Amino acid sequence: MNKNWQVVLAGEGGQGLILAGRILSEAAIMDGNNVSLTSSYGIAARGGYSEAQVVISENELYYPKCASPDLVLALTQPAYDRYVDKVKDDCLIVYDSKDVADGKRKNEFGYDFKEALLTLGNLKVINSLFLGVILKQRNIVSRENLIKALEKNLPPKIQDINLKAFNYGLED
Amino acid sequence: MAVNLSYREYFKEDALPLMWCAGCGNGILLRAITDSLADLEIPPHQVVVSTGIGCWGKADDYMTTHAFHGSHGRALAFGTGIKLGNPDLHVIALMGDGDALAIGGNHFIHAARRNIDITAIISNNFTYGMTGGQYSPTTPLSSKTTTSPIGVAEPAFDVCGLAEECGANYVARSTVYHVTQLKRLITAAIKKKGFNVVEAINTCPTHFGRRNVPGDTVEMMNYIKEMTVAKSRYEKMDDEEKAKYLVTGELVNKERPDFLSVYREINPAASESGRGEGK
Amino acid sequence: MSRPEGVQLMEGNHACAWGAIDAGARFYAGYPITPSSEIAEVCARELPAYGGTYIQMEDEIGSMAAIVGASLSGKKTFTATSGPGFSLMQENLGVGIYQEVPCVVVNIQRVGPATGLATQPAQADVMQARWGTHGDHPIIAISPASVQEMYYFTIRAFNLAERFRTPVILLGDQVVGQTYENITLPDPDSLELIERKKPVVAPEDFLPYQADENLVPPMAAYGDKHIVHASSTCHCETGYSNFKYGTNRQLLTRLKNKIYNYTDEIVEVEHFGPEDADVTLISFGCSSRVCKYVIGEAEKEGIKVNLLRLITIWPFPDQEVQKALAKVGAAVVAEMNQGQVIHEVNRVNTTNTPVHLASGIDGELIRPEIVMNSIKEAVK
Repeated sequence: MNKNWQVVLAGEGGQGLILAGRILSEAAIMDGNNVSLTSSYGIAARGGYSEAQVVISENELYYPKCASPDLVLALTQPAYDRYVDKVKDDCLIVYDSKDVADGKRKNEFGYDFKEALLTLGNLKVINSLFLGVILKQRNIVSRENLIKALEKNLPPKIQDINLKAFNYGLED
Repeated sequence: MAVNLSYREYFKEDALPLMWCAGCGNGILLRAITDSLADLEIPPHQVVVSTGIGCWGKADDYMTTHAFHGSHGRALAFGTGIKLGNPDLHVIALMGDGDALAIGGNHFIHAARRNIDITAIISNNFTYGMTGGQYSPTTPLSSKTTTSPIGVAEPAFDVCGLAEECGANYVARSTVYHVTQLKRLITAAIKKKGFNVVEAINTCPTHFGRRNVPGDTVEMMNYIKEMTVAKSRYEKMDDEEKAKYLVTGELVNKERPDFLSVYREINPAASESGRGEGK
Repeated sequence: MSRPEGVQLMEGNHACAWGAIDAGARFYAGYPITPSSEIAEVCARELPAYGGTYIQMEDEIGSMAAIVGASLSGKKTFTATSGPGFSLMQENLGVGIYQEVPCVVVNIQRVGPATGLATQPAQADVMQARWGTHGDHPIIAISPASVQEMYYFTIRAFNLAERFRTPVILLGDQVVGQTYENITLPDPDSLELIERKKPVVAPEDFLPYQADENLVPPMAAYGDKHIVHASSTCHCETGYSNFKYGTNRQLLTRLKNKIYNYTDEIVEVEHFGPEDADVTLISFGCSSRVCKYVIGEAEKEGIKVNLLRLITIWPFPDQEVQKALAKVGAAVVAEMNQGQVIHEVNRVNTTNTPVHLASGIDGELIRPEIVMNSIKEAVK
């Protein structure tokens, strides 16, 4: 699983983007890669634009940010708008098909996160769900290590539902 | 009390003469402190005096104990580190009124709130002496100073009242006129654990006295004697009369656990030598 | 929580706190400020188990004072802050320098002046670190560029502080402070730690400010029988205030020489990229990582670029910069301010090499294109 990846997870506060970035980063470390995780969010403790950037490299990692993302997850319209015009052609944008107005580029994939969460019966597991959804699209990290990282970062009580959400995203 | 030690153990005689003006009570206060240390038989190497900046901030120059002379207003903040760095030490902060209550006011209220084990001895002469007699936070309302030529427009802090409100464990006031009482209160304050404050009303014939007290140094002494009243008499006064005086004596004597005791109780590992020590 | 073992995803600020603990720091005083607060949080959680103490002071003036005080009581001490807090620490940083008190001040730089673009990254406190406290004084400042270096440079900062008996500034920034990277903490027993020299004379012969052959006075602690008189007033070897003509000159000269006579022990730089280049980048901290990235991008466009990374900022690496400038047709200084290090570069530019500035002042890690544009301008 030694490939270089630049992944942006963008949306709003409360969607677990930074925790998901952490899980993705730890899985990448378990895969034997170098990782840099940065996040940005507003001054409000809840809500507002939020994103995590994960850079994965098998070599020494210089630029710690996503200079040219390979994958952008956009859970909100502002998140989509921020990236849609500046990413390279082969960057995949995975967006929330309910929140984001019809996509305008070729290399993108809309997913109805709300419907999936309603099926799962838990709105809080969106980050585990989207990790599954993006891993289905691109093999950024190994699935085994992502599950290990998920288990490491979540309290036992909520592990089952999150694993269920992850697998749902992976298979849906 | 067995007095095997003399104040001379703590007093740096070769630094004489004192830099303070004739008629200033800082020498009396210094003697009271060194006498107290001798009475308590605390060896000089177990004492750190942390001084501020100002006339009284020069007191460390005359002491043989460990000493720290830092920046204006920060004696308690440095003292907090000194105490926590070595909890076995007796830390005594020597501050003037402007030092402790204006620029150092924030450190003062928080030292009292957290009840850090430091004895604060404030020499209150109602003015900034070293800078030329400007008004301070304890200058009585309408007094004349070099920056209030007609009269100061601000009311004064009640040093002891402030200390009490903020949680100090022990609070006492005396004057450099009431030498025996002064020494007794300082001894009690040093002996007691916690944040303990002694306000020593002091004379400044050069600046405050010259502009506000008719007469000479003796009159200045009388002025601070007459502006104060013992607690026993004060308590019998009505509010109107009370307002004319500053009460002296032991004003607060509580048994609040000091900061480090509480910290160690909440963080039990802190009192052990620690698994990482020595690494 | 306990000390993280094995390979970890760790935030730079956490790595800094663990570096301090592994270096032997047992006292932290601080005041919360983003983007440095995680250092305080780790210390509050971990120090008690190491027999240490965490205290949250009423402000950064008090924080700096408390670490100076506790160091004189014999502990290794530190604090961490950012912009506005670093301004408040300047007063007592001077006291620490003058009284020769080993301690470490971590400044996780953010955009200023004032509240600025709270709490986005900048590198604009370079000159404040040098000259922020009033009066004539030396300073040591080192600048980490990664999570790994937040750990190791913190240890180095403590070693320099103890070796030279002086406050040392770890000049970080929001990027290195709050980025997470993979790191493996070493066995603490494998670290080379420097401890302050204790007096070798009897208490009655001890003069607390009598320097040894390295111009550094051996240091007793409060509570020792060797009496310590530490004064912020001009003082002689006894530590007591002294206003005789010559005392001030003697003291200030020694304070300067104890550091500037030993720059070879302090100054560190990193050379990166091809030895021969069209342009040399000069940078430090997080910006230097952008430079490393840009070197690869420039190569694609046929421009040969290398980097001189300043690990030590103060004392300034005069000779290393001078040599680098002499070997190249043009240089670019990349820094996240409107020009601070560039003034020092020009000061030592005896070859009159053209020096351009790549300035990142947008409240984010300097963009590669800003550096690239300066390179293109330099080769024009």
